[in-house]
Amino acid sequence: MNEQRILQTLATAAQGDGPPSVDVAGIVMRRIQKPARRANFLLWTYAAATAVAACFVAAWTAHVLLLEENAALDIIAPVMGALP
Amino acid sequence: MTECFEPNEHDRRDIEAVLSGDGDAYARLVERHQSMIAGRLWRFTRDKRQLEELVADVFVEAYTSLANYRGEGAFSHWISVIATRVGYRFWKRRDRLRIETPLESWDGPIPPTNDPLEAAEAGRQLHKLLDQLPPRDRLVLTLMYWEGLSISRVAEETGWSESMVKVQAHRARKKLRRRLETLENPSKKSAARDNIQGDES
Repeated sequence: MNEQRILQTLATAAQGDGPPSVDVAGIVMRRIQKPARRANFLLWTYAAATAVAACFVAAWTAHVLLLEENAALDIIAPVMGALP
Repeated sequence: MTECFEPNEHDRRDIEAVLSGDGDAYARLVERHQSMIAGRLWRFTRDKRQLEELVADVFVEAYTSLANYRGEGAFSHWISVIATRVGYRFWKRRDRLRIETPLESWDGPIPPTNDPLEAAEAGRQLHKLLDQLPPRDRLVLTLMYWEGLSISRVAEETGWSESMVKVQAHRARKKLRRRLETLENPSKKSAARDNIQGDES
């Protein structure tokens, strides 16, 4: 019996050979939702980090402005006091 | 093997819903097509746990490229191409580990039958016989003989040209013949094995 005949014979005999029943809907949905949840987490982390950085910059700017204001008062006050 | 190539109305509606962000619609698509995909992947593995993993891989891969499905043919046809490629990649990964089933324990072909147990045995034998070949040869013979696909369908499923499919099938049969000859004449065994590995490299 040649190889082609063997293949045909076995393939014909195996026509009724079906797979066991599978139910992968749950597994698939969990796997496709996981990357989405990870992406959401990264987005929130990025937003939080950006907000913290913005607050820090605002606080630093206010601090510098207050220092400059105090320095200006220190200069102006004696000048004002010397005026008649 | 008859197959409907027209887009199914339920599939079309569910795909539109998935693309609009309805996750439940994809679960419906999975439930509708998982048996068909399991049937295809049953040619690639006889292990139930591996089968489930491969079927899940197919649907996850299909989900990530769902936007590329143009709806011109049936969803089942589109996803069966993904299944073939997932199965082929599985064979290639496994082939690197070189796990072989010895052909010495092969009992010869079973005649055609209507008995499901006999059919399962024939399927097991055919799987074992084709397992002697490298993945590329195994793929072409599996699709042509076991799945009963035409040359043009095999070309579509594999992404090869039709002439490439014919050449690959010819080479695969030749390698299988050599392997079967070793059963009749065991002294040819090492030569046949060398030839198969030589052809593959």
